[in-house]
Amino acid sequence: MLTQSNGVAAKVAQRPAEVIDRAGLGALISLLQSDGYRVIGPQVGDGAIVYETLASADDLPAGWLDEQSPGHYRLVRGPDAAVFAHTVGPQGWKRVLFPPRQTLWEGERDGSQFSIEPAEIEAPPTVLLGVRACELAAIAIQDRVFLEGAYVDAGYAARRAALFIIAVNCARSTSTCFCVSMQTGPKARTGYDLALTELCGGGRHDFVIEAGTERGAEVIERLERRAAGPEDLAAAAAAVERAASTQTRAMPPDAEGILKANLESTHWNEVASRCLNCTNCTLVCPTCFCSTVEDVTDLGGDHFSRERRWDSCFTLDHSYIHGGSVRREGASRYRQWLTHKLAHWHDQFGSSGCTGCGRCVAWCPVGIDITAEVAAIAAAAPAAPKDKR
Amino acid sequence: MSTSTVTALLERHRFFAGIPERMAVTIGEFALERKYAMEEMILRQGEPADNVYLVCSGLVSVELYAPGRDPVVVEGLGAGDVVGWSWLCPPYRWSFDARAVEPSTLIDIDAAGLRARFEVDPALGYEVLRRFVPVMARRLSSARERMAECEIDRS
Amino acid sequence: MSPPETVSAVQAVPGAVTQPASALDPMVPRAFRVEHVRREVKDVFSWQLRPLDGAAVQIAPGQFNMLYAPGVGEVAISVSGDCSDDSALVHTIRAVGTVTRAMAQLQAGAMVGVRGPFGSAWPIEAGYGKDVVFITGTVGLAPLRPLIYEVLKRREKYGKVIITYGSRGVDDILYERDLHTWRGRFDMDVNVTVHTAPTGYRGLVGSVAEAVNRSTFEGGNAIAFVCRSEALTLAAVRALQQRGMTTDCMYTTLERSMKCGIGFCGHCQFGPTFMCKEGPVYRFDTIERLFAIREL
Repeated sequence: MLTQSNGVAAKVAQRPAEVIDRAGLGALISLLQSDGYRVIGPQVGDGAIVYETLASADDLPAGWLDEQSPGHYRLVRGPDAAVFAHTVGPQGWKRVLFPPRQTLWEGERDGSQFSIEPAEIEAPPTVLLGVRACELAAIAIQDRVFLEGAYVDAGYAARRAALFIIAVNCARSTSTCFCVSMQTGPKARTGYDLALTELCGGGRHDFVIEAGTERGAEVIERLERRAAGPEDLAAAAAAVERAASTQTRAMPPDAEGILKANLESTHWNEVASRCLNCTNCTLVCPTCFCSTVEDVTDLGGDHFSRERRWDSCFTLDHSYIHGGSVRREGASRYRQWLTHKLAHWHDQFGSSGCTGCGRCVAWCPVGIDITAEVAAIAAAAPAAPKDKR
Repeated sequence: MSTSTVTALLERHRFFAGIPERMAVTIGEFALERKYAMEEMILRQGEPADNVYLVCSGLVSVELYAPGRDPVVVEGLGAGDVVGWSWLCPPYRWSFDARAVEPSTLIDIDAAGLRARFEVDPALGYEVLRRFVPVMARRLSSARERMAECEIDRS
Repeated sequence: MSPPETVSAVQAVPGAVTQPASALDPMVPRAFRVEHVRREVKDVFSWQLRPLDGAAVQIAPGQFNMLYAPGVGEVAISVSGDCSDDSALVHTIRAVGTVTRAMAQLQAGAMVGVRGPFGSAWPIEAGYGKDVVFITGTVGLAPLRPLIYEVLKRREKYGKVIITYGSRGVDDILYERDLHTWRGRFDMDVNVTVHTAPTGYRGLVGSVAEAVNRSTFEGGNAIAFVCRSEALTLAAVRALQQRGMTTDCMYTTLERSMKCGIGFCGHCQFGPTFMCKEGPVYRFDTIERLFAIREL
């Protein structure tokens, strides 16, 4: 778990960075697979970068870049064979830890009796390869929801504990990225076992590899590698710096305060007039955790189960109490999503619920940009009343 | 009963609390104390609203006559309450029945006489109206609250 | 690091790899038997539930359980019985939706599921030394009844105890037996008011707010527990304010969609709060600002 990783990370921080080459990356994947892990990483699927189980390093999206802007996402060919030059795809790692559908329990009726058994939790040892800094932040945020409150979600805990995380430092940002303003990236700082920085071009294709945990360090020990020289480290730092300095979007500072002070802003109606209530933003968001349950029975009614599936605060059903929905207007539902994410999340979990990954901006079919909406709400705010003298 | 006794009763009643003595005396000239037996009718829907009543003790129900069924009680009034405000607005006819459901003591004021007095003593008229308006507002708000609760409860 | 060690290192972490969830998984209902069904008023019934495992049940006044009708679904229902009885639960349910209508069909002897208890409780001790005013209407009396029981058990710790209860008519007064018993006590006032009544009715006819106006208590030294439809809560709050009470002495409950009861599903959010964690019982001043915002 993250807390454990943090503690270990401090201990192994002294281990100097090393360098593996492109073949070394393949060896790393094979080695973890032979250790019994399934390795999930980025690949091209349905015209986007998706995170799926990798057979080998050959499945990685070599030479692909993503082009993202509000309401827009395209894969394009890059100038080289870099495998991590893309940024974030539509689906985050949330699907691994918090599956879109899961059975919570199964029951059986026998006359007037019934018995209920918790569903088996499948949590195979899993490597997440290519986790970006914003995604590490998202996992840490969901840890606070599912592991660090009064209750622990058993399935999440089991799957979380079965993870080996290989982070990748971003060498590139797209126009929708704003992790710098959320202070989550582009460099991975904590919450990983291994971190890679890809150095591709000028006749080389290497990865600076750093351990975040003891077990990460043990894996490095088993790889063919060399010590990182000053020029490797400088190139890695420059790559991350380039990703940071090219970000064009930023969340206004104090989004929390702005939203809390403007729960009745007229701007909510304005944004609601564009919002389609399609729920895309909540589904691609790596931290959104709303779910609903469905009770499922067979035809005879003797076998039944409860399924949990992702839900979205953009549906009328989300706030339904007998008689009707509390949030009947689109403006109310948009306000719920944005204020929960950026303001009330602080009260609930001690941080923002946003990591600056930009998915909700790119995957909004009408290109609503939450950073712009927060700025617009601040701008629409009535001026503070002047002193009466 | 002497006018001074009924004036004292008026001054003690919550509705007229703090009224200038001059006005209490004037109203007292139009007032008398009346006792009602249980089930006795006080006023009747459709009849001229030429009186107004203050409840001193007992319980009075405001009812709506409903053909073919028992009357419906829409308001219960007790000590400190006023019965009736149809006397304040044309056509000066009662829109509900009022009945004593317990033995009750009321101050019965000749509203027609008082109305005529308001014409020559607007200060008195203002004083009485200013006490009546909040009562009407409370009754209206009570009725609305109950309407809303019935509707919400139904769903 | 050899392969077997890798796997065992993962297994060493509690909760890892394939294994059944804990028997105390808060998402898994516990089996209870419906021991007794009481028809209260039209569409409203109470269950007395006993756990099949015989273990104690724990719940505090104001808290709720997720009740499960096998194969149909789950609903959040406040406890409405005496919470000092740890052998059984009492819940009062109004048949208004698919699940509660299915529940209304169940007879004594049926098995149902229970998860809980969840949520915040009424603060019993906050009223020590004060007049206690309960304001409620229709089925809102159910979540307050366990608190009324507790207050009466330690009656000497409070000043006046006043129940103001509003009902549509004389036929749907909930817990009439309890109200009758309480009215017979000399140490409390029970003001039942109805919206309309048949002629000859000797009780109060009027709104709940009007009944609050008529009750006698020390506004400056009182605590109020309000439990009625959210749309009507403000009418009660205003009536109490007119009696000199401030909102930090008023407690109320709110209702939102609930799917899990443990803060995971996100449905019951009310501003920064989760109604299943910070609620359903709130001190009114803590939500006063949010309460004024529509569709929050």
